[in-house]
Amino acid sequence: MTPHGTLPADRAGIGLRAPHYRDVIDFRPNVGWFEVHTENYLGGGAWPSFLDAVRKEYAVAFHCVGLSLGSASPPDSVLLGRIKTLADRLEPAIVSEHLSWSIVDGAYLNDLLPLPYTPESLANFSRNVDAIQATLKRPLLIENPSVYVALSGEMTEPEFLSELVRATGCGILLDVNNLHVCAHNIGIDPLSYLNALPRGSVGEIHVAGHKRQPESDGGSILIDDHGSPVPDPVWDLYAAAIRRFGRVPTLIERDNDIPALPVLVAEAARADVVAANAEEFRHADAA
Amino acid sequence: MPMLLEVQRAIGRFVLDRDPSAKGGDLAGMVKPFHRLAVYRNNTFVLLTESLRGIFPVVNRLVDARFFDYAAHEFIGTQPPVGPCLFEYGGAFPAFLAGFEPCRELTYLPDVARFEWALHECAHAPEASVVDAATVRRVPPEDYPNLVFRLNPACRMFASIYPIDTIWRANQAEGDVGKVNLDEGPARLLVRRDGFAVGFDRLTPGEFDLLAALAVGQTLEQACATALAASPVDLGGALARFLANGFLADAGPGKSGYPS
Repeated sequence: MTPHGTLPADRAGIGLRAPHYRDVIDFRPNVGWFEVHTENYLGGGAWPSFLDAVRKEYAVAFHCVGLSLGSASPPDSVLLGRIKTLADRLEPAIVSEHLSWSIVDGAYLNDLLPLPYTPESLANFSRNVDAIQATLKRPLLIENPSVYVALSGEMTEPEFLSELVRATGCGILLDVNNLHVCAHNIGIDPLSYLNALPRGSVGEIHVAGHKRQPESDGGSILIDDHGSPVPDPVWDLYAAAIRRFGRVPTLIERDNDIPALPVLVAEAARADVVAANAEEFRHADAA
Repeated sequence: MPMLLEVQRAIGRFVLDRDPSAKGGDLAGMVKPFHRLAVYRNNTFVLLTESLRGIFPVVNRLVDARFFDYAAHEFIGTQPPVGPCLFEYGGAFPAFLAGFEPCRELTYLPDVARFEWALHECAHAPEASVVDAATVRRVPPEDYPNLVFRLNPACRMFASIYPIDTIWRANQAEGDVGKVNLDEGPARLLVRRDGFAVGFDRLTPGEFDLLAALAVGQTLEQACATALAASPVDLGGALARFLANGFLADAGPGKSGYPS
């Protein structure tokens, strides 16, 4: 295994998806790195040897969906053990999870459900992040979710995230599509949101698309479908994020309606160009 | 302000469609806009239904997609996943279908579902060290009776009174399925993964009995007696076939009886 302790910040990565497994091995696409959805690869089959083959050529990041850090219960230790075994095998440069919850009373609800941003919820989430970080012996990145509703609470989301970073030493995975979706759905200002996150706290950025769904009142809701190309407003928000946080490892995220590999490679290349331009602005701003 | 756990229980009831009023009770005051909570319910049911449809494509085709949606909705609401690895979710679906009144007349459907689950399980089963004929030939013949194997973990034995393999094959092609004769007789099958590919073979009744006896850990001598007691069987031919096709795996250190 080649040493891949960090992800390249100047070349975007893409998700490692089952329909592409032959193409990835045979053609070694020109992308910076691959993201692995851990819960898809905790079984057996021929997948372990496939992952080993990919890891020989590329750095990888783990993106977990099932630890349910926001649940009012400790993380599933068996699941965590399986993730640790996979992490020991593949040495991911980053491990990330979501600012959400999915499990209540033993039922897994298979969506990233919203949290109330309260002191109780923050203390609970921090405790769960501490437990994961102690087991995996590395800091986590926590991703801002797409939300469709707002739960009443005493804090804003960036306040909650900033406190979490301070309390646990974790970092932030900033999903600029999710931020755009939230801005539309619950009326937050995305640029103020970016400015409210501490500089240096963002360790990775996700860039993705969404779909617009009309509502009966004549308005619309944006759904984070993980299955659409990246639209212009999200590219703009990505550039704004680079101007604030500098260049960090970036992922083109597509989990559903997965297009052919060249389409994703092209979106990754576009992210590199957008980021390079934004960084020039950043230096110009600073000068 | 309600406690976090209370909020999550209320959202959980709503998302799993267990809230008879569908008004969310106390949630309405703290979730805004409340009607959009339905997006989460929809996401949960749609994604889990598609995961099940991916595992049970022939069941989906036999009952049609709308009926499948309905059955999956009932199943998910009463037996939601217990963890996030969706490739592990659906093992209880065949038994659910067996007790699901609206498809009661499709008597073979639960067995089709069991078969699809066996294919799926094999696809995700771990690699194992397979025992081949050369390994067995290194054993002194006088030790043969005491040999012990286990079923290759990437194999599943499958039996049904219906010709499930014929039904499954008929539903792979596009277009009209044609008629499958349910009187064609029972299916005794061995499902097996090789690399990424999962396939299956028919076994004779004798082969099936012999393999089943070996799979539960009987010695070769005991297993042969078990199989012969049920029906005439070419024991040598059956064992050669098992070894040639990777049906058997090493029973583990100190258990197998052959040199490793």
